[in-house]
Amino acid sequence: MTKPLTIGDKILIGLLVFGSLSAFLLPHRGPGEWVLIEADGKPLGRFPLKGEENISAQGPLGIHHIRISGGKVWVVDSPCPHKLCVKMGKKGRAGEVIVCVPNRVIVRVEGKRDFDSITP
Amino acid sequence: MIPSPHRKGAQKLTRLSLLVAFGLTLYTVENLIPLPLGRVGLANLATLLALLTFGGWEAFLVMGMRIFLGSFLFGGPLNPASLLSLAGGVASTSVMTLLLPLYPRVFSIVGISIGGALAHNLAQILAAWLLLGRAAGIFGLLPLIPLISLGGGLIVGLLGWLIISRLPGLEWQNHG
Repeated sequence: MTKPLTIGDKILIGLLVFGSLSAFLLPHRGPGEWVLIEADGKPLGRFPLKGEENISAQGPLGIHHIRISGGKVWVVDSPCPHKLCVKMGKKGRAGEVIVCVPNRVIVRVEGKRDFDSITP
Repeated sequence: MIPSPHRKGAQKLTRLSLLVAFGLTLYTVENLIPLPLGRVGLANLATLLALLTFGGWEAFLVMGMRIFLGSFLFGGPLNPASLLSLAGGVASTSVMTLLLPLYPRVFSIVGISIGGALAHNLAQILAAWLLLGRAAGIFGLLPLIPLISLGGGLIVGLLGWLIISRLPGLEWQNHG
């Protein structure tokens, strides 16, 4: 029987540990300022992360219920089959995203500076 | 008495069917667990076992059947969620099949599994990007890829290693 970890395994694991660490440490993710929501390919709006908001986003499968509260944004309920977007939990740092492919909803947290790409 | 080549064929069919059923069970159970970082890819364990005990072609068969049947449980075969599963499944099985000749010298089951998990996750991001009309926001998920691939690949790989090492009869074909 083979050993559980060979040299190739160790190199692969090492690379991924390095990748994980650099992804979370190097580009320091500041606190988010804005929540950008896109539904079915169209920008739905930009909401302040500091505020309190319940947003309904209409996708092809139905309505996505998104909540902003206490500096975090999360998907409360979704009509999609796997509910991965609900399981992704609460996001509040710049650059973080919640994506629901079946219902075509994208929730993005942005920081102070990057007023880019999908401004309504 | 059934002649021996037919018996072997029936045995192979039975084992592959069991692996499909095993994969479907894992797939269903995993979708019921609320995990914060998406999914571990437990169903890939069935594909991994098919790959190691039979080979690449059989691994594709087990993966394809599992995703096709599984799609009826979650939204239907043409649902974007099923297309994502298919993209991930094809990518991970391709990479694991390509890594198989390096087994067991360079990569163990754990290495093959991690390679498959990495391919699975990258392919899913790419597929999501295409399915969502090339919305660049998707790539915000990229920083999560190394950690999710490592975690999922390790768990599935270690489970596969436990199974293969406890049931040495499973390795009856190419890698005895």
